[in-house]
Amino acid sequence: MAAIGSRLGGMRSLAWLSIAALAPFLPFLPLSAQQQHPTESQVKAAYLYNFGKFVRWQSDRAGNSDFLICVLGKDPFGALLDATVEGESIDGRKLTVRRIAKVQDGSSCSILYISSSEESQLPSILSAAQHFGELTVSDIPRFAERGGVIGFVVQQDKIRFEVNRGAAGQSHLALSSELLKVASKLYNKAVGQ
Amino acid sequence: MGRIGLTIFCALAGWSFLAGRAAEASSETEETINPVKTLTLEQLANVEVTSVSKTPEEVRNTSAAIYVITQEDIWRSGATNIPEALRLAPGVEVARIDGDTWSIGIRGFGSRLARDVLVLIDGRTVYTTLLAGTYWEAQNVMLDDVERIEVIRGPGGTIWGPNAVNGVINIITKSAKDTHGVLVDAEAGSLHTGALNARYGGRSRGVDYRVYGLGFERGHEYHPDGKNFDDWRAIQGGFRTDWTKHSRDRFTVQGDVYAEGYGEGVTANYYAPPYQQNLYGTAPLSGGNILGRWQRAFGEGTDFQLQAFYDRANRHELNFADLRDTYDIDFLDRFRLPGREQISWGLGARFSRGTNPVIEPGLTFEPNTRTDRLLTAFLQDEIRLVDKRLTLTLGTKFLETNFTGLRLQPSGRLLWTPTDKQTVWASFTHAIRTPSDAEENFSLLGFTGQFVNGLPLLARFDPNPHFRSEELNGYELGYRFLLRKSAYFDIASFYNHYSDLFSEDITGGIFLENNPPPPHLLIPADFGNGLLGTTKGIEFAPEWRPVPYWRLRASYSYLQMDIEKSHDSLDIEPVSQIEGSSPKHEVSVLSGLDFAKVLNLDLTYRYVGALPALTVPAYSTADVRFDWQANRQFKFSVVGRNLMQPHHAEFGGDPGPLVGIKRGAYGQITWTP
Repeated sequence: MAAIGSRLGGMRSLAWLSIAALAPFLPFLPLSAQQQHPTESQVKAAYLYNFGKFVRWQSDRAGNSDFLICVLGKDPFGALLDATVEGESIDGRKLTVRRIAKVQDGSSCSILYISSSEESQLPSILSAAQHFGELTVSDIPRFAERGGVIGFVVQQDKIRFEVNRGAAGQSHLALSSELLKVASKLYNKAVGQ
Repeated sequence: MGRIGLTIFCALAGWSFLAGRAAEASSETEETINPVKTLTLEQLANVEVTSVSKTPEEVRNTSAAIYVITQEDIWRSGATNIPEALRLAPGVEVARIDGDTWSIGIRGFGSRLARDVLVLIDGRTVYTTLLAGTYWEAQNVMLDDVERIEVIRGPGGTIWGPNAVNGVINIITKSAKDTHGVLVDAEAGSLHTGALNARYGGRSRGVDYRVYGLGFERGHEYHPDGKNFDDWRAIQGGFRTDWTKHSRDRFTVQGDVYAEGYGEGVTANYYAPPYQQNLYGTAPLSGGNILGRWQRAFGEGTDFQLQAFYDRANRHELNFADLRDTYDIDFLDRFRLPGREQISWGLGARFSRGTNPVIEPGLTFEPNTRTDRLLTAFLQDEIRLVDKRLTLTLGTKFLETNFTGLRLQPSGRLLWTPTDKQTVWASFTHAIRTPSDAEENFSLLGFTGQFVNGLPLLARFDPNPHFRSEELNGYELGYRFLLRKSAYFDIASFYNHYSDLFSEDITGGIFLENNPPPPHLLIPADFGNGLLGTTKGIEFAPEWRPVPYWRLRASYSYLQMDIEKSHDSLDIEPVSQIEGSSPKHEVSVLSGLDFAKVLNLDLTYRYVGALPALTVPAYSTADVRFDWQANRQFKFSVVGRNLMQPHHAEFGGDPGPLVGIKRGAYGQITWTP
């Protein structure tokens, strides 16, 4: 035990040495929050908020004046998504976030974010969402390829998205050319083809 | 120390649990402002995000002691080859024997050829059944193209192949689509004369491809007796192509060829005078491989994979030679059952044909051309008992080789995620290490140094065709906790019970042998299964980002080995030899700082406990790496290694005195036009 104690003593002095060695570099360390990188969730929440401005829904969300962004399954955003849309509106409709456990509960959602926890049910979720005319978004792998409208992909530490125009068409969604321009990849195959 | 270790484990687990509860309550306040909300779509697509902890969700939800060494971990550590990169994983004993030879082990039994660790590169097994182990000096990979190294400590569960008794190391290279463009990387320094890595990748007609070449020449380490035999040079080239068809099928074809001069020293034994001498020289090694893989994904956890490879390895060491062709084909299938089950199953076959021409008469294989056969199958059922909270995985491997009959290796694993940020897992595995040519076909002569009545007294290990598989029953328990998205703890503990362990047994009394001439006295011996015992230990790996530009990691491993002879064993190797060749404690602390977006500073501190059986004392050492991304094309780095002493020994095994691993530095330029 004494031997371990003396070894720990040696380690302590080395720890101080490392910290002391950093001292000359401290003035160069970035201190402002702006230079810190945002998180994946912050960027995805910002995307969800923005997509509403670049998509036109044909089917009317009758009986609901709020613009609903729904999260299906295990919620990766928490309070962040609510904070992102707080006080915002699209076409005069207030932006609200709702969590749902089953796709059937979301008939009045405009944007449906499908959590990766729901991957095993993907085909049935997509066909129900298509029936409701929802813009489906997810970070499930190859989401757009598999019939979702917008799928998030991570490329070299950046969050990009792929768009499936066929799926958008089947849900009667009109996608702005600005959205399509920024997309990293476009698919044309619709669900079920 | 065992009881203290257990107390520490419980205290840490308890504290983390309570801290976690408190942290969760307050974590909501962190995320009420979204700083990127006002960016345009185009700006959002160009924002770089922090990976909060380097542990993706899939690692956190694995019911095994897994550690992933990422590409960033590798280049920031200054490692120039795979063994050096493996130092980053907790629970792995990496000891450098000399300039081109390593001893690597997981949870004990580390040696030059660790017989119970399975090593794969892109799914191709590089573990050889010749002498049971992996020749690290022949496994060169261009480190810039390594995507990650997955290290699983413990019996690898059902999916992995045979001999994954103490662990699996899987080196995964980047897909060709991630290595477009030119990359040239040149190194020079005091430790090695030079190294050059170059790669070109692109895309043509829907196929992503890359070709690479690497070459290096490394100098020798410190030898008190002046015999500087361990210099090392190699050149290697290879390619990889990937393409996708109908967004459902993915194909990969890749291959490498290499030629090396491996400097070594061996002790050769003879029947005639001088009976024993040390040979020093350069052993030519060469070989190549080609691998093809087809993956088809149906979505929702249903997919299959078919892979085949051919590997050729030529090894002309100073005291033996091995020319080996290996053919392997593997099939893996996964699908979901309507309930909450995911079934995985697979089949594999490997044929390894080796020829061993006799170089020195003291080391022979009988017969000297053999084909080793390995047939494997596995079946695994992953059952979600409580959705998203409790998962039970049951499975078994089936193994049939030319050394063993049909053997079963069952395992059970339980994964519990009480909250989104915590994981508790437990497992039981029964694993076996199959016999190899080393036990069943190998003759090894040794000179005892003594003469009786003018005749030399030699000992010889003869083949033991009845060598049985070594058996392991392994019990593991682990806990992972993600605290406030900037701190992460991973604790894994294990208790392994081994039986039929490899032993060196005397099989009879001394007798006069006339053949091979000249006449000599012989102690007959062979490799038996006369040892058994337990190992237990704990590995603790915390990670913390106090601020986004500073990453701190530490790892601590504790290992206790209790090996003994079975009651009818004739073993002559003292048990303390085995127990004293693995360190009881290993610690490392790593600090990674990013500043001004173009500068990185990495500091590493390592402590490894003593190896009394090899007379290697405990040592501490430190590495420093500094790099500067000067502009988009050029990056300059300076690395200092083993800085705390002029040289220190890490392991024994070479003839002569212990080799000292030298302090040194190197500079590197990386050019990506």
